[in-house]
Amino acid sequence: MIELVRDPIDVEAVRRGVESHKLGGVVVFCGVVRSVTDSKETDHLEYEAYDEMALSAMAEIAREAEERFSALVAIVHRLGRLAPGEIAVVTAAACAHREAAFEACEYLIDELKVRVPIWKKEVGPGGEVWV
Amino acid sequence: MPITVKLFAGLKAKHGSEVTIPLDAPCSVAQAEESLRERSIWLHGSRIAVNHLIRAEGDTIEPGDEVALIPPVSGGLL
Repeated sequence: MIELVRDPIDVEAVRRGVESHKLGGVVVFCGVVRSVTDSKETDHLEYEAYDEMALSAMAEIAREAEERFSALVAIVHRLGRLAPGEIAVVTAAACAHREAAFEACEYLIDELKVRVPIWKKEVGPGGEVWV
Repeated sequence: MPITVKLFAGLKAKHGSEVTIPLDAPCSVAQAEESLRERSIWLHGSRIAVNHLIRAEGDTIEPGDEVALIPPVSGGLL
C-alpha cells in the first residue's frame, strides 16, 4: 500500500495492508503534526507533493525495505491542510520477528524524509514558512 | 521547443505552478539550472528532476521530458 491521500489516514487499514499470518512482528509509525517546533507555535501545516515523483520514490523505498528486511510494508502520506494532533504520515512494516520490523519501519520513515518530494508550509502566529 | 519547468512549495507560491525558460531541448541540466538561477527561480539546495528522477548537471533534457525544480525537502532531498 503506497498512497498519497487528502483525507484522514485510517491507521488500522494501513496495518491490515501488511497483515500476514507468517509475519509475527508488525511496527506502525505515525508522524503527527506538532503544535510547537523549536518553541515556535504552529496553527496548521499545509503539505504539498510532486505526486507522480513522490509515489515513485515511495514505491522504490518500499521495494528496498522489503528486500533488505524480508518485510511487507506500507507507506501512506496525507496532503493538504492538517492541524496539530492530526496524522500526516503512517509507515508500517511486518516481518517474521520484531527486530527486523522495527528496523524496516525506521528505514521507511527515514528514507521518506530525505528522498520523497513532499513539502510543508508551517503556518503560525509568526507568519508562514515553507520547510 | 522551449522547456517548461514545474515548480513546488515556496517557488510555486511565488512564481506559479510552472515556468517556461528560453532554452531549447536537448540541453543539459546545468543549462536549465543556470537559466532558472538567472531569473532568481532557485533555492539553495534545489535539484532538477527529469521524468521524476533527480538528475546530475551533465545529464540531458530531451524534447518532451517532464522537467521539475525540486526545492529541498525538510530532511534534505538527496
